[in-house]
Amino acid sequence: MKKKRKSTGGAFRQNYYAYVLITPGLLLVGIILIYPLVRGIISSFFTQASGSMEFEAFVGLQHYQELLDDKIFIQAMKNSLWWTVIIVAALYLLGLGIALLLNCSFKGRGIFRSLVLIPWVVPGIAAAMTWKWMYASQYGIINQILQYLGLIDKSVDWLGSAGTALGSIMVTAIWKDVPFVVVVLLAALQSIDTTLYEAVYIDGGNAFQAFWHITMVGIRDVSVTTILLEIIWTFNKFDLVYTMTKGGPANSTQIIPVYTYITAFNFFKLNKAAAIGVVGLLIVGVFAVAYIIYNERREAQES
Amino acid sequence: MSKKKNRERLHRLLVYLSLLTIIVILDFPFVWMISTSLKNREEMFSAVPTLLPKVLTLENYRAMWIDYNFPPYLRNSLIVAVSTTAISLMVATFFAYGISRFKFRGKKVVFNLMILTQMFPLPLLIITIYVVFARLGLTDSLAGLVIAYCTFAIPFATMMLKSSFDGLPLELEEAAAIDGCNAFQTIFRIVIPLAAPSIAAMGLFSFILSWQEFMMSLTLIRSPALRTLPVGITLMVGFRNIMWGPLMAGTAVVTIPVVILFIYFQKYLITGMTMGAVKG
Repeated sequence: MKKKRKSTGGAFRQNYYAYVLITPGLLLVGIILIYPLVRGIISSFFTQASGSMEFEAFVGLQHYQELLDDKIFIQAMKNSLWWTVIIVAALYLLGLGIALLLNCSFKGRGIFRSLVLIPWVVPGIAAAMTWKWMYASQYGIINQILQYLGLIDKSVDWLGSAGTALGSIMVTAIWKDVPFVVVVLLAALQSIDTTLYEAVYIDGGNAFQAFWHITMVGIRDVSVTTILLEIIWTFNKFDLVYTMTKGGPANSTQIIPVYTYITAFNFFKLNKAAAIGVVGLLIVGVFAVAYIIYNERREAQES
Repeated sequence: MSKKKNRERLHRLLVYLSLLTIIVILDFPFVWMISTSLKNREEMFSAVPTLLPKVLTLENYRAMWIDYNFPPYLRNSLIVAVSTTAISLMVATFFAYGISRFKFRGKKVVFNLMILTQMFPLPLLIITIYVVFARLGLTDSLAGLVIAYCTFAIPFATMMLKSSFDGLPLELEEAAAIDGCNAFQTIFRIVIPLAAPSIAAMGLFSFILSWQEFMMSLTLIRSPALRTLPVGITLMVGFRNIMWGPLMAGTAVVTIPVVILFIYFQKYLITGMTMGAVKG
C-alpha cells in the first residue's frame, strides 16, 4: 500500500474501490443520522409550524431560556442525574461482584454464565411489561412476597406513587443491564495472567493487595470504557420509563429523553423539544468524547 | 491438609450459594412471565401465588391471538426484522471491508463517527427523521421502518466486522488479487467465507435490534395494520383494566424467539458484546 505513488493505475483503483465500498453505508448514516442531528440542533434556535419543514423565525436562545423557567424540565434534569448516577454505580458494583464469583473455577460455570445473561436477552418492552405486572398493586408478586415476609403492611402502588416510581424503574433498568457488565468484566478478568497472583503471595502480599494491585489494575481499562458506555446508554434510556409510567405520576419519573419525546409528539412543540434534546446531547457528548479519547490513547500505548 | 480441603469446600459452597441466589433473582421475571401466560384467571389472581401453573392453559394465547389482533403485528415484525438483517449485513460488510483494507482520507473520522452514532440521543433525531420521512412518504410504511432500522444497525455491525476483518490473514486476498479478482470478487469468494461466524453474529444483532425496537416504530407507524409487535403489546395496556394474562402471552411471544436465538448462538453474541466495550 505504501507503493501507491509508483503504480499510478493501482492507486486510483484502490481508492476507487474504497469509495465504492463505503459510500452506501456512509450515505445512509449521513442522511438518517447526521442530517437529523444537525438539523435538530439548528431547529432549536428557530420556530416552526408543527408538521411543516420550514422554519418561521430565528429566535436565538429563546427556547433554552424557556427551559430555565420550565419546572418539568428542571425536574427531568434532576431525575436524569439520579437515574444515571445510581444505575451506573449499581451496575458496576453488582457486575463486578457477579463477575468475580463467576471467575472462580467450579463445575457448571458455563451454565451459570448463560443463566446470568437472560435479562439482557429479554427485549426491553417485554421487560417493562413483565415488571409492570410484578409491581402491580393488586396481585403483583412483589407486593405479595414483601407482605408475606412482613416487610410491608399493605400493598404499595410501586409505579403509581411519586415516592417509589423512579426507584422501581431503576431496579428494572439495573436488572436488565447488569448481565452486560458481568460478561465484559468477566472477559477482562479471564485475560489476567494468573502467575501475577502467585508473585504477590510469594512477596508476602495478602488477598486484598492481590485484588487491588492485580485484579483492579488488570481490569482498569475495560472498567473505564464500560462505565463510560453505561453512562451514555443509561442517560439515553427511553423504552422502560416511557412504557412503564410515561414520566408520571406527577413527573416523578420524567427524564430528559422521555421529556424530549413527549414535548415533540404529545405537546407538538418541536423546537422546544429540540432544545431539550440538545441539552441531552451536550451531556452525553462529554462522555462520548471522553470514551473516544480514552480508547485512542490506549491504542497508541499498545502499539 | 484436611483443614485446607475443608476451607476450599466451604469456599466453593459459598460461591455456589451466592450464584444460585443471584440467578434466582435475575431469572425470576422471565420465569414469572412465561408462568403467568400459561395460568388461568383464577390462579393468576389467587391470594397465594404459585410459581408454576397448577393447570396449564393456552387461553391467554388464544385471547392475545384473536381478541387483540396479533397476527398482523407478528407478520410486520418478521418482515421488518428479516429485511433489516439482510440489507444491513450487505451494506455493513462492504463498509467494514472498505475501512479495514483501504487507506483513504478521513478514515479515522469515519470510524469515530460510527462510534458516535451509537451514542446520539434518539428522541432528538426522531423529531427530524419524522418530518423528513413524512415528506418522502416513508411514514406509515414498513419500508420506511426498515430504512430507519438499517441506519441504526449498520454503524455497530460495521465496527464489529471491521475488527473481525482486521484479524484475517492478508495472504489469501493478495493471491486473489494476483489471480485478477477485483475487490467485490475478493469479498464474496474469500472474505465472507472466512468471516462467516462474525457475519452471522452481526446478523443476529441486527435481527434482535429490529425485532424489539420500540420508539421509531411507535413514531413512524400510525395505522394499526402496520404496527410491529413491541408497539402492539403496549397497546394491550388499556386505561383501566390491564388484561395481564394476554399481555404476558404477547410478551412471551416477543421474548421466546430472542431467547432461542441466544441459546443457539451464545458464543458469537458474547464475543460481539465484549468487543464493543473492550475494543471500541
